[in-house]
Amino acid sequence: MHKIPDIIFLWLRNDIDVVFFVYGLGFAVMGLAIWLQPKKGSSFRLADCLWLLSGFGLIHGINEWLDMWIIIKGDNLGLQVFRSFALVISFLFFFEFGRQIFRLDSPNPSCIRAKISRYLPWWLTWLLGILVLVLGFVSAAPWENVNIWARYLLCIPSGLLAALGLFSYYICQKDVLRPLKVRKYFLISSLALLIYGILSGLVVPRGTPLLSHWINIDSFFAAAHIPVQVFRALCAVAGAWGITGILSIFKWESMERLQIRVAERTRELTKANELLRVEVAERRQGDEKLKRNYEMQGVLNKMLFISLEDISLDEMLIRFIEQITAISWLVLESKGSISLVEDDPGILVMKAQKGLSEPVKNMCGRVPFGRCYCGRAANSGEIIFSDHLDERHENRYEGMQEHGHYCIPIISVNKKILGVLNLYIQRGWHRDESEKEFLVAIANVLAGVIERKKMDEALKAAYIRFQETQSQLIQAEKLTAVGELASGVAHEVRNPLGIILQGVNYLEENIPAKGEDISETLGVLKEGINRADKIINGLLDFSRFTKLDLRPEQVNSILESSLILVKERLKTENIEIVRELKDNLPSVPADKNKLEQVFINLLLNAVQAMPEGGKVVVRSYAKRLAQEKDGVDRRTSNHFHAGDQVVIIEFEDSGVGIPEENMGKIFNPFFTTKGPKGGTGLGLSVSRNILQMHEGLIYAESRPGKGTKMTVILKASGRG
Amino acid sequence: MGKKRILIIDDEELFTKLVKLNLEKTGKYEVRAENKGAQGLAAAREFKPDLILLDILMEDMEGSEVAAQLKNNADTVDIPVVFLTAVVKKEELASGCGVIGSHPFIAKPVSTNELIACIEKNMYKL
Repeated sequence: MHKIPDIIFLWLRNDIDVVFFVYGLGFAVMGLAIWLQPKKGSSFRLADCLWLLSGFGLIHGINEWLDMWIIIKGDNLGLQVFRSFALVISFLFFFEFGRQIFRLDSPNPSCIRAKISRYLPWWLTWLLGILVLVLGFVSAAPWENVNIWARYLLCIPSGLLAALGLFSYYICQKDVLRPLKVRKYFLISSLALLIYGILSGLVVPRGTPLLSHWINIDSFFAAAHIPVQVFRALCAVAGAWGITGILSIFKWESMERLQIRVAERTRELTKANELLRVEVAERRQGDEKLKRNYEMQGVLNKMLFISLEDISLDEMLIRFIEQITAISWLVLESKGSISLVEDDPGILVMKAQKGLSEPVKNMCGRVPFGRCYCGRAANSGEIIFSDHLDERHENRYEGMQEHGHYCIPIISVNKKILGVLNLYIQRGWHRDESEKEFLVAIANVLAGVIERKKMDEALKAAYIRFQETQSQLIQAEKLTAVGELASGVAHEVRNPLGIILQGVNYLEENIPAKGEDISETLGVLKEGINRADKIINGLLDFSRFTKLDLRPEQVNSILESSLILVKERLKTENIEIVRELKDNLPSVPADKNKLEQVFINLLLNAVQAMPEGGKVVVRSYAKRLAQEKDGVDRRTSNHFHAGDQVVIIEFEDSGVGIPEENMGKIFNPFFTTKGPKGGTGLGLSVSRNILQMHEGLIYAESRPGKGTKMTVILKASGRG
Repeated sequence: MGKKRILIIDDEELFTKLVKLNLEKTGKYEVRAENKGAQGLAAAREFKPDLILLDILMEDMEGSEVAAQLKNNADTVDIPVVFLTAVVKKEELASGCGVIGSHPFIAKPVSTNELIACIEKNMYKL
């Protein structure tokens, strides 16, 4: 009965081919593992020389399998030669690996390793290779001796260098490698290579060179009872395990690099994303800007278009402010106003507004230069911008909401401040250059339009004044001439009239027995004298500028007294009077008697226009004059202005009317259609003179066959 | 009570003649008519009228000039003067007789009755 160790020994001795298989497998696996491990671009310098160890592992593995082959199939010369070359080449790889790794990473040139490295030049491997072959082939048994010399000269130093180099590599790279927990692999593989170097280099086949006849495989077996190949195989397996473990650093590195690359890529992508986001934001901003530019251009276009319309300046300004405040991105709650400098220099008068509340309208209706934002803009001629309510906002009221302002001065070409455009903006608004330019452009358009309009209006007013002055001159000249004529006529006519009247009086007294016909004749004479005298009176009335005795009078009471004076006449002519008199009319500054004379004239004219009787509507009402457009507001006299409070008196009859061709002549002196028995032809012209002296106005509207309406306009007393 | 003396100075000869006839016919007045300013002044001193009717527009002399000379003479300064004129509107003088400024006026044409009324009104007014 054998003991268990004996059984193992026996097995190992008899089945040594299995040991060789494992031995070869160990190295082959090591070689393959190294070969297959991607190391390209690694920062570990170890990667530069590992291929040599791979070469050693693969070739030496083949070598061991050849040994196995020989055991199974028997030896022959071919195999022996091939095997020997494989062994030498594998050891050359091993040596070169040892040499190179030993030279790696010598931190200090004065250390032992660095010193030894100097004796390990590149050609040493070649030299040793050649030496092995030479020493082998000079002997009697060349193949056996090549084997032995290769082991002595190559394997032993290889093992030493590789082991030392590998472990010192770990020491040098400790900082990097320690966290990877590969110390044991470096230790095991270094030890495995060292032991292998000794076992394989020192325990050689029995031969003649050096110690081979003394220390050899057989003597080892004799001493240990276990074939040396078993230990070598264990070294190979341990080395393979260790090296495979070491290779994990490349896996780790590639993982690390991957992570770095991922991180880099992520960074790049993040950056690209950021850029893209910025670009998108910029694009959006650009689009927004483009849209705004388009809108701004649109507003300017519309304003220019409006400026071509035939409307008053006030109306134009209202249209402008509507356009400007419609710019929703700029103007808060569509609120804004345009104020202009009018008759009072240094005062801004609000002419147009949008969205302003009553308190603001009242407070900002008249703003002196220098006060609040608008006044400051007018004072400095600079745009005043504020993104919140600050101390410059002097016009304040209860419950005022937080807001900002843009106040843009409207400046004429010759640097005169015409007004201020005031816009509400959001609190915290960020202004930019383009919107400033736009607002200046708007102000320029406004300045151009205002100046042109003002010039137009001044021209129009000057023209009207010119016309009025001209007609007044003509009228005055006419009146002077008529006045002289009237005085002359009065003197020349009245003296004979006086004689005739005295003569008639004389005859009345001195004809003793007056017949009917004589009395009648004398009466007719007196009537004739009266008529002639009346004409002279009318003429004198017309020609003479009597000073008016102006007092605040109630138009209605003057109308009533006039109606009383003509009551009898109306009754006999079968005229109905319809009163449409408004109560509580404002008083007018008037000469009661003169105005009475005018009203009587107009009433008698109406009576004479209705020979068959009819109706006269007498109307009175007050009115505030609006724009110069229609009806009574279409006036040319510069006594009246828009906004004046006036009292209007109308006499509307249902008479024959005035033919179109006569309308222009009715106010001319001595114009009459009533024939010699009618009037003097002076009634309407005298009336007009009286009204002109009252700074009033009279005009006629007539539809022939339907009737005539005479309208008198008088200014109410005082302002408003 | 004797007749009141009235002096009428007017360059309208027919008018003065008829006024004289009409006034004297009433039996209350003694009338002297003059047709020239200068003669009128002389007549005023000599005739010593109670009232003078004086035309404003005369060929040789303005009525206002005659009036001024009357005022300058102690004999005539107290004689009331009523002006006669054809260029004043009748309506401005109540029933053909009134005052313009401080002067009484009669506007032509004037009837005898109106004339008498005006004379009576101004005769004793001093």
